[in-house]
Amino acid sequence: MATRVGRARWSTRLAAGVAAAVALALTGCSGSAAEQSGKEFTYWSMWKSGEPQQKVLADAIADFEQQHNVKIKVQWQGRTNLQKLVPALNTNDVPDLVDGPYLKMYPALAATKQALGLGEAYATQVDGKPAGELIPAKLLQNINIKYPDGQPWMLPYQIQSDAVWFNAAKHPELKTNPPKTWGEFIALLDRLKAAGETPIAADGDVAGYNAAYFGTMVLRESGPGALMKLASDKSGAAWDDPAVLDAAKKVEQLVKGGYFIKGYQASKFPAQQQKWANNGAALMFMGSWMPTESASYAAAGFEFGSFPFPTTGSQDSQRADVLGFAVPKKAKNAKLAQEFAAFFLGKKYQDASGAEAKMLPIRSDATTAPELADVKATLDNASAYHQQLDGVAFPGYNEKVLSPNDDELFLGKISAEQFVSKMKAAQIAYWKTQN
Amino acid sequence: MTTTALPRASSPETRSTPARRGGSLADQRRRLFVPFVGPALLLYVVLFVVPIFGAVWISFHKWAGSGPMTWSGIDNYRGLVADPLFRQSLGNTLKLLFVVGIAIFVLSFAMALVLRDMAGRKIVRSVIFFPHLVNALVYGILVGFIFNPDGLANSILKPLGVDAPPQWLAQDNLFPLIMVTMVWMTTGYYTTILMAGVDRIPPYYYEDCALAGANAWQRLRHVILPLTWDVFGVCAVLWTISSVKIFEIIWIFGASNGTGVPPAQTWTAAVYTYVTAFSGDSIPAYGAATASAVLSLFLVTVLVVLLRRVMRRDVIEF
Amino acid sequence: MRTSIAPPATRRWPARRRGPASLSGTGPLRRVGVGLMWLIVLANVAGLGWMALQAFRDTRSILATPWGLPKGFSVENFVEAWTVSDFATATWNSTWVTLVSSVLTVAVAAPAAYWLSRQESRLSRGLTLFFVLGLGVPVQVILIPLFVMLNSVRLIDSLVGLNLVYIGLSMPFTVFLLTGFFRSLPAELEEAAALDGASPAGVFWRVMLPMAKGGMLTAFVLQLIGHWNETLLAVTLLHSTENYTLPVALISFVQQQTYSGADWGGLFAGLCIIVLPMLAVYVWLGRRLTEGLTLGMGK
Repeated sequence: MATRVGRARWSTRLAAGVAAAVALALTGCSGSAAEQSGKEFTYWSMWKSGEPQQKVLADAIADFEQQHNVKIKVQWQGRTNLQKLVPALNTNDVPDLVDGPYLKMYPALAATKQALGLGEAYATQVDGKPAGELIPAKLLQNINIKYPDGQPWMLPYQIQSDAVWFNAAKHPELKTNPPKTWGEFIALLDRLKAAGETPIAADGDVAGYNAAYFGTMVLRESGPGALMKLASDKSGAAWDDPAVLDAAKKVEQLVKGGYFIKGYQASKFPAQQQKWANNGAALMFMGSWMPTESASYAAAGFEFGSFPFPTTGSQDSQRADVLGFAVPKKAKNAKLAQEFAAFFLGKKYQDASGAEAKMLPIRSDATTAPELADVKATLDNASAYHQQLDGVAFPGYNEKVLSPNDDELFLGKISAEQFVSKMKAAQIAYWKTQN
Repeated sequence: MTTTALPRASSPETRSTPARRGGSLADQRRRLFVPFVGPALLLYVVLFVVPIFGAVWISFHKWAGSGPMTWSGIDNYRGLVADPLFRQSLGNTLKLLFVVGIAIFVLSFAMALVLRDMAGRKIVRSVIFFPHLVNALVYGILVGFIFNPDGLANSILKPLGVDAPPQWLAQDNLFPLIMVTMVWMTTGYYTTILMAGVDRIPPYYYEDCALAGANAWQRLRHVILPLTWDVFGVCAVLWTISSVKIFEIIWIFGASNGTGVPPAQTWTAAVYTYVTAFSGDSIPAYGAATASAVLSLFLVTVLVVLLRRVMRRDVIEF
Repeated sequence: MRTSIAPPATRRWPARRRGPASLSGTGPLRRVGVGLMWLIVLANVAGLGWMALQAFRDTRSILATPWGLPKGFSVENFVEAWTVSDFATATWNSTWVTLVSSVLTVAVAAPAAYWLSRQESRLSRGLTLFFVLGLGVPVQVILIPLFVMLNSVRLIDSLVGLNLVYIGLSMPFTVFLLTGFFRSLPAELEEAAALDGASPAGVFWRVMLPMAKGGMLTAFVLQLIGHWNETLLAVTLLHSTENYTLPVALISFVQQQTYSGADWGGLFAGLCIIVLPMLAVYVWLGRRLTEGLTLGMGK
């Protein structure tokens, strides 16, 4: 009998112990992460270690740490940094600095007002000027990186544009005399085809790249803001606009004309891009990161050249997506993070981003790599700018409405008319579910 | 001895034991509830059950993942039911469950039979089991290399005179390709399990069969299948659980090595949920994402219950 | 008496009976089947070998002649994969997370399963059902709430947190599997032990556990495989590179390759780093692994 009692007590004690241990694990640990002084901050980077832009950032971080006697805790997370940030924002354990393109920053941070106003960063003196003045205002005409009260929530440090790329060593004539209008472009494609060369390469499995054709075409027809207006029309009536059908028809023209590389419907990125870089096709419509991405496998003697996407009327805006820093509202070391964000706009790092990382630095006085000279010149001379997909980022719209239908158009499964009517129906249904 | 691994509420021994054992052992054992079951129950409730209720709660809200949550009732569910993409994703999950499942079981069973008295069966079993140990991501990465227009598959076909090879990676072909890969990965695993079942059958059954002059089909129908039925039951439940979770292979297969979102034709319910919450291309809709997960949970629950009902039958004891 | 109840420690695979009557006939169909089996074996081995060979070549030559052989055995690609993506850390993380979580899962689930299988009451039936219900819950359902919960107790981006999650999420299946297994064990031995004066805990420890070794090994191996390859939770719950497990490191490596110029040579080397340790463990554990897997299924 006695042993039984003893055993019962043993079991209760064990149970109490387990419960206490779990309770400790669930609550007690929160006290252990001591709050740090302002002498360090965390940065979740969109770059992976080894990428050229990462190396430039790492240099800047080392300099900043030395000059300010601080410690920056960097996590080179790569492009999913913002996806990981969103759930973390519900807690008190957030990074002090993040970066990313506007198109990903807006939905992750600004739409829910979780980003801090960066007045301090904009006012910080960089090379004798407030950092805010180093950002060309004309690029921001169609990108709203400010809260309604005028506070900017993002400090851009890089531009991403796009262009039609070619091997200038093989096609020097495109360098001196690029096609400017849609008619000239089609004529060029026909010439290439007749000469036995594949006109355009594309990796049809990347929905975003496919949508760039239709998206750019709409912007060419009706100017910056047109795609946003089209997508936000709850009645779907905007899809009846003949200009929209015309844009779709031009995509269809490329598909039906057989200008795309054989197998573009059934490749896995970057297969066709690799083929293009080895002269398997003449042209490829791609972002300004093309030289960085494809240099390692490009054919010997390959020379990157580019011309802007042809015009179809009077509209000739250029894509200028901005990419930059933001500070979450809950950041504990926001001041230091803002200081570093401004610090990275220093000429030294902007030059390195241009020359070594082969990116387009935000400062117009920064060095540009020769591969990007054409893109840079086009941007400098452009009168208007647009963003990729015109900044459309409604919840699920791109993934569930635009991409599936646009893929069918781009991969030749449906006609332009079918695309427009499917989009109209899908969009009406979409907005119904969005209250 | 009963051989089923499915917990059944009233297996013969358990029903008979309390009566006979009565007093001390059972009583004392009952008191061990807290130390024996407590930890498992606690972990399960805290890390599993509570989050499920959390998910149901979130699914009635509109929530971008951070910032305010606003109550939206059943709007998320209504939106899902109306969304053809969700229906398609759910359909794909069911395809994986049933089409791939049946293929795996037919193949595994056939292989188990062939392997039973084949020379070198140990080597063969070891080799065909191995693909299961390899992370699905590896297949997703390799498949691009093999099936690209200039990939390995076409470079084999070309010398054979195939000038217009199939467009392996076209969006419509991706999902069938994923299904084939799943079969390749999983068949060896279930073959191994089924072999254990087949090996268990005492040889005198075959001798009896031989004496009775039964042909191969009769042997299969009347001896092998009934005697391995319980193992099938376990395998069916195992496959149901794992098939509903299939995610990474689709993510890498279709999504250009993880740089984007895979084409909608290949989405399963799990991918739909993930895209809705974590695609990064648009404002996250955590409410809708959890709602879709809760709906698939409901579906799976119904299926598992049905499956166990169908698979339940008397176990033959031997 | 008590000790003799336990079966011998090394439980052998039941001796194979290669009876005179073959199971599936001896016709041509069978010969085709055997041929196909060897073909599948060949394809598996060849695929693995091909992957390993490509890891020694550079991207340009891989793309030009995918069937080519390496010119030499330079380990450049491996060094790149090992250092740049820090697979060294990831391998260590994966190893200990997998081992610890699998061991603890079985250690926690086995007593519970034993109790539930031996207790005949409304409570035990209800609880068994309660555990079994968890089987049907796909991970994606609890992904978001789990993230929020773990985050609030600072167990996000922590391998301890991941471990806890793996253990909690393995409960339904492991309890389910082991409950069935304990039920299949005869109760007479326990009663005999109890008559000998053993306490219930003693019965469990000295009588049931040795008999249940096979089932526990099965549960352990299944968790081992599952946790080693688990991707969705790891990719969502871990942020910092020093905490990455192998699948997360692989995804991150692939993305890096894609953005900074696809380096197929390095990628193949990365795949080898993931697959070859599994192969080594498999060759080493060999039969024990597959047999442990199947022991509990049948008997």
